[in-house]
Amino acid sequence: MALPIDVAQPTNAGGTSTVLSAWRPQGPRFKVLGRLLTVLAALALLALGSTAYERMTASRRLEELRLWGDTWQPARTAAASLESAAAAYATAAAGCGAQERPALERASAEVDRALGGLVALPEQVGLTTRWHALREAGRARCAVSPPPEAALAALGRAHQELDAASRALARSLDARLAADLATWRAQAERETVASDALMGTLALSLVLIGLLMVRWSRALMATFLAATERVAHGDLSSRLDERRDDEIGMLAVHFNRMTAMLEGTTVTKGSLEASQQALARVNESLAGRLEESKRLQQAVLTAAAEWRLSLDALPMPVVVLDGEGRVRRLNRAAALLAGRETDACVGLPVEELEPAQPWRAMRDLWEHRQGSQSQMITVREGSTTYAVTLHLISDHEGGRELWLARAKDATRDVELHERLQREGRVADLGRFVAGIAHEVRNPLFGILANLDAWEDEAGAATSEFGLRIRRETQRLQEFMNDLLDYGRPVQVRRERVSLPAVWRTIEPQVRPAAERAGIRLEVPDGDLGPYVVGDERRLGQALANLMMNAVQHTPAGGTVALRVEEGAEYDDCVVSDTGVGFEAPALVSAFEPFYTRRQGGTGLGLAIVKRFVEDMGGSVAASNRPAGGAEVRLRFFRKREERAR
Amino acid sequence: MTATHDPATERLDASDGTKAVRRRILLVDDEEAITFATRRYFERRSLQVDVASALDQAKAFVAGHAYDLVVVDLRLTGAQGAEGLDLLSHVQSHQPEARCVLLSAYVSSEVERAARDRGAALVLRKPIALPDLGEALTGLLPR
Repeated sequence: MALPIDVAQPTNAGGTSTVLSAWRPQGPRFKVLGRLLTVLAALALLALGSTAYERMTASRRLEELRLWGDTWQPARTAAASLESAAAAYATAAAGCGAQERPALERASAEVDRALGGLVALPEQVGLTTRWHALREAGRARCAVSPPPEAALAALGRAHQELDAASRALARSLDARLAADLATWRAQAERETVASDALMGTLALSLVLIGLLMVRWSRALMATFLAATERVAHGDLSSRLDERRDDEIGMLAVHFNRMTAMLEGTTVTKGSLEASQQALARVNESLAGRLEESKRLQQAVLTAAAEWRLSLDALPMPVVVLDGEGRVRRLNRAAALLAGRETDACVGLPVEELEPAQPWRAMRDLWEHRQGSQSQMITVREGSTTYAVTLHLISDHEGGRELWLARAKDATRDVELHERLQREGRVADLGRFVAGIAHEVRNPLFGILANLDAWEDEAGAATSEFGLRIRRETQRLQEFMNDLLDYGRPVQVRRERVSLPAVWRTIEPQVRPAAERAGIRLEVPDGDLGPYVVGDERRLGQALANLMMNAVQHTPAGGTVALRVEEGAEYDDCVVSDTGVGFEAPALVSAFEPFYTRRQGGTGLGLAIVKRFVEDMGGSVAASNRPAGGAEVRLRFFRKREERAR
Repeated sequence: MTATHDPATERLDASDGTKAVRRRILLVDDEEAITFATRRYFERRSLQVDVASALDQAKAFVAGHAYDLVVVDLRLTGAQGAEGLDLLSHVQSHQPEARCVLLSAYVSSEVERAARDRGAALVLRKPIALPDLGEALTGLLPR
């Protein structure tokens, strides 16, 4: 029946709905329960709706029944009243005496009243018509006295007809009531059956859902149980399917995370064995690495040794300076140049290696270093020119700043450069002088040749004129020779030259002049030494010029001396005399071209000396000796390899 | 030193009277003062002296006569020329038997080497005294 699920249900349904709405915001963690409750709520709502509908239908039917009852009851009463009133009227009309008149009136009013009660019925029109016919028949009976038979008959017929209609109405009403009741009953029964079926289905569904959930949860539990069982037996690789997007999925995720952590931290038998194997492999690898490390160490040591040897093999001094300008490392050439043991140099400020170049230059470069820029300067120490360079080799690496300083012996380069410059200049001068030579010597030759031929043909002894012509042309010739010597491009050599040997080549020129002038000569008397570094031929010309000059400026009885004085890095060839010495201006200008104190001198003799000596890398200095007389000092720097001498 | 005391000159003098074939020399120089005196000096010593003052003229002489000796000045056209070297090559190819002497106011080692390469037997520097030149040339003449 529909009614048992009645009043309490809606309240429950509302409660469920509240719970659902309260749970929903908590997200997917209660998804399964949420879904379950949603299904239940839907079912409850369905049941509620169904019940409400049934109730509505039932009440409608009750209402209909009540309305029908309200309609039927008066109609039924009216129908019965009409029947009896019509009979009374007919009876009263049939008599139509004076005594029957009030009964007739009452019966007529009764009939009208009954007909008024039948207004809602369709039969009322027919009944009214028949009533009017009866009333007409009654009036007709009563109008004629005595009433004809026909009128009585008509009255009887009209009454019968109204009576029949009244009876028919009563039957009809009864029948319709019965029929409606039957219909209503049948419908009510049908609806009850439908409601029962719905409730039955609902109950069955709940039972089925319950069964399914139990089965599903058992399967799920079985899966989890199996997984935990595996973990319990040490299989930490056990994992659950994480694909579900709900609490089960999250549970699987947490389970997997847990087992993964366990797997990472737990020692199992399998992992122990694997660890032992891995350990063995690591040991093996370590042994290999130790070998490799030893080999590398050896290689590093070898490389370091090779680098040291390589650095030591470099002929140029190389020094590594630290960030404070102290020597950190140096090669053999640097130690040799500094004249110290390598170990004694390390840690010293570089300028303290020796108070000379190239160390001072290294210090200067280091002090004026600019970032990582490489710098170079050229400095001279004695006869050696150094090209000193400074490079940054390590920029604050490991907090260290390292600089590489090199001192290349650039003497030859500089000499070559200077020589090229000089030769360019001298070549121009050489062409110039050669041109002069051509223009001067040809006329000279013309003069002398004609003088020779003239004297040859005349057969005469040389005249006074001829002698003077020869003397002047001779002077011109000597000047030309000097001029050409001075301007001629020369290739000087720098080699170890024996001074006695040089003297022997110029002795034939100098000694006769000295003897003529009554001058005593003091010259080296050895066979070989002493030596100087220079060009033998040019040195000879220079010394000859100097000694001839000294002889010319020394009074008879004086002495001209040639000797060598050895210095630390050089040898001085000194030509001195006992003459008047240089006048003050001559001390400065004696070596300038065309400066002469001697009548008939060309003024180029000492200039040629200076040129030759400087071409040989030496220098010239003139002075007056304290004891009187002049002294000219030619300074020749030794080659480096000869300095130790 | 005078010519009369010079053995070479004496020997030249001595050859004067022999009527043997006279030695013939070619003197090439653009300086007239020099060629004048030199020719006179050597002709007095029984040498036949031809004088040329230019390269073409000298080549013409070389084409026309056989010479015992050719004395060439390096520069025949001013201070920059070096025609003497060309002439040396010419003489060497046309008269290989002729002895050659280069005479120049300015003798650098390069010039000397170039002259010797072209067959010069001597390289002499101006000015030179004529007796000294005579002595040098005598040493080169065939006996």
